Amino acid sequence: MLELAQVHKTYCGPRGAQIPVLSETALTLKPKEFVAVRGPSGCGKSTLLLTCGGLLTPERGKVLFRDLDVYAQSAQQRARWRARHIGFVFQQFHLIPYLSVRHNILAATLPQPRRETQTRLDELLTEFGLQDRADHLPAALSVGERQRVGMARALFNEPDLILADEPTGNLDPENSDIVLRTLTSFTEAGGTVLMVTHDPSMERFADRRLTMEAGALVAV
Amino acid sequence: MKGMNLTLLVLREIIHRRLNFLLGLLSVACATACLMTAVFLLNLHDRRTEDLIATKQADLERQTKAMEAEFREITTRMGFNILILPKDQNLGDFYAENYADKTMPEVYAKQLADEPNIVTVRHLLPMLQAKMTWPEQKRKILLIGVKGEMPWAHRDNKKPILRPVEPGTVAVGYELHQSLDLKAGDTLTLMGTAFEVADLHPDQGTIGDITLWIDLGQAQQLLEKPGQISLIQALECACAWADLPRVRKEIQGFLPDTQVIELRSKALARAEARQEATRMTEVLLDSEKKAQLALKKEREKLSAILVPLVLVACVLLIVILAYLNVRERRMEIGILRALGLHTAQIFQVFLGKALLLGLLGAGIGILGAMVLAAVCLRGTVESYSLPDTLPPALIVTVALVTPLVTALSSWLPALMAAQQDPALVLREE
Ligand SMILES: Nc1ncnc2c1ncn2[C@@H]1O[C@H](COP(=O)(O)OP(=O)(O)OP(=O)(O)O)[C@@H](O)[C@H]1O
Ligand SMILES: [Mg+2]
Repeated sequence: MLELAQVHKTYCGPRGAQIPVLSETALTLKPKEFVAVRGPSGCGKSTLLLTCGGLLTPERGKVLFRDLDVYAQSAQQRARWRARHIGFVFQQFHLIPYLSVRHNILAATLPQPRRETQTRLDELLTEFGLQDRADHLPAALSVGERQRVGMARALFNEPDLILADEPTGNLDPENSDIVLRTLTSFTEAGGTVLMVTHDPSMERFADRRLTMEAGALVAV
Repeated sequence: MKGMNLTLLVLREIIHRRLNFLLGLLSVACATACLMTAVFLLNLHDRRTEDLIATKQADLERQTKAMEAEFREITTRMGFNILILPKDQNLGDFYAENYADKTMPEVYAKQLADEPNIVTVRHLLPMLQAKMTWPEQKRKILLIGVKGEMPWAHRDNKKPILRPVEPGTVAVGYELHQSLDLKAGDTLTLMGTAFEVADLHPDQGTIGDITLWIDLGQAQQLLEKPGQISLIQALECACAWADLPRVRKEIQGFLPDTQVIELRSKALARAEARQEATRMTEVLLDSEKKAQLALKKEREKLSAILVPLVLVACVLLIVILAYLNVRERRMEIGILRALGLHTAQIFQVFLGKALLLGLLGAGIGILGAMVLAAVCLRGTVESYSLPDTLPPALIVTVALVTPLVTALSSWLPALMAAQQDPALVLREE
């Protein structure tokens, strides 16, 4: 499904300082798998997710998506690939502040307009209990509701892989549960999830648990 | 609005961040309105100047026509007056003393009058002049022998224009009859001959005041110049104005021993003065035209400096506003990239906003300038139309070019937005 092979990523600090974040990182995600990655803050979890999602080009190594070399594509091809196959969920939700709930979810269709968006939208609004909030701006929502909007947006195009960066980091247990259950049912429906977190209690739904140590992933 | 597209995204963002957009709008509207108003004012002033000069020109033409008519009338009714003098008469002396001392045969006058080809001259007055001391009174006088008018041989329908002096009578100038206390009917003696005073001339302030007019024949006898005359006055030459050379040629061809000079009439002098005045007006009008042209150039130079200044300020403001907008939307750009939008689409979002800004701003600016112009035109006495002073071609050009300018101004910030690395902002949690 997704494979990271010998991926190497180093940030350049001030005065030419090199900050190695991912070194010889290898990871294989199988279809319908829910993988949780744990690690201390600053170990490179977000970097890992962005690299998987085609947003951060590694210096070395390959990211293969069903035998497709993600970074061998042009930037435009990669964007289209991301729109079709990847869903991102963020700890800070990252909703667009001036769009209503409805339009924030529909923003998933911006890269490639699609038909029958209305039924899919209604489906998701119902699933996340947002029917009554469809016309509200994100600022009017509770954090739990915001993350539900983020989830709905990530799921809208029925991606193959969801990359979730501490999706429950700001949520109460109840909403965390909703997010995790949704991700689980997503894998049950055939999707793959790569979730990073530093809260071990969030790993209970995962099929596989990994920790990040010195830029490498180790099974727990 | 059910669906979602980039236009909706742009519109929502504009509504959300009104201040940024309104500021941009204001700057664009101000710049376009400023440009259009400058053009309007220049046009209005040009119109006014043109009209003013046209009015003056029309006045001048009317004046010139009236004057030409008057001139024609004077020259045809009165003709102009010439003097035929002996060829050896020194003209300098004649002008200085108003007196001809050389003589020519009297028959010249007769020959001239009898010549049917000389059609230009109407009245011929032969005269004999002598400056002398009146022996009986011991005083300087001018003695003039006149024959009244010569009969016009081939025409008979003319009145004499000088009162003839009968032989044995004398007409006396003002100074003379005043100092000698002469009355009509008195008798005076000149060189031993007695003359009856027939005419007393009024004060003229000229040499005429010390002149005695007697019959030409008697004068020739007294002065011992039989058959001689000093000059012939030809009055009311019926010929076109400014045709003195022709008159001169005609007469000199016929009487080669003479010279011809012009005696100007008062009416002609007046008409000439008026012509001169008209010529002056023409010159003034011409210089006014030149001055207006220079003024126009000045105004154009001023607006050529001011308008670009405003435009540059506007472009700068738009660049800054667009840059601030991009900075403010860094996170949003990251999100859109994570959703799968590619660089060209991000670029579109920002360029679309700039185009909209230009279109709306130009619309407001044009409308504002038109309202301003309409109000301005209503306040004027002249009835200029709006399209006259604010040509539709200009409006269309401004409406089309302004969005282009705003798009170009936002180009760099939009490019920055499109090139932004999404990873940088998305990791910032
Ligand atoms: N642009 C950058 N330049 C230099 N160093 C960077 C840059 N971005 C990230 N880093 C460093 O790379 C390391 C990994 O960052 P990353 O955000 O992936 O960590 P993380 O595991 O997601 O942390 P957290 O749990 O706090 O979110 C950190 O030490 C960070 O300081
Ligand atoms: Mg992180």
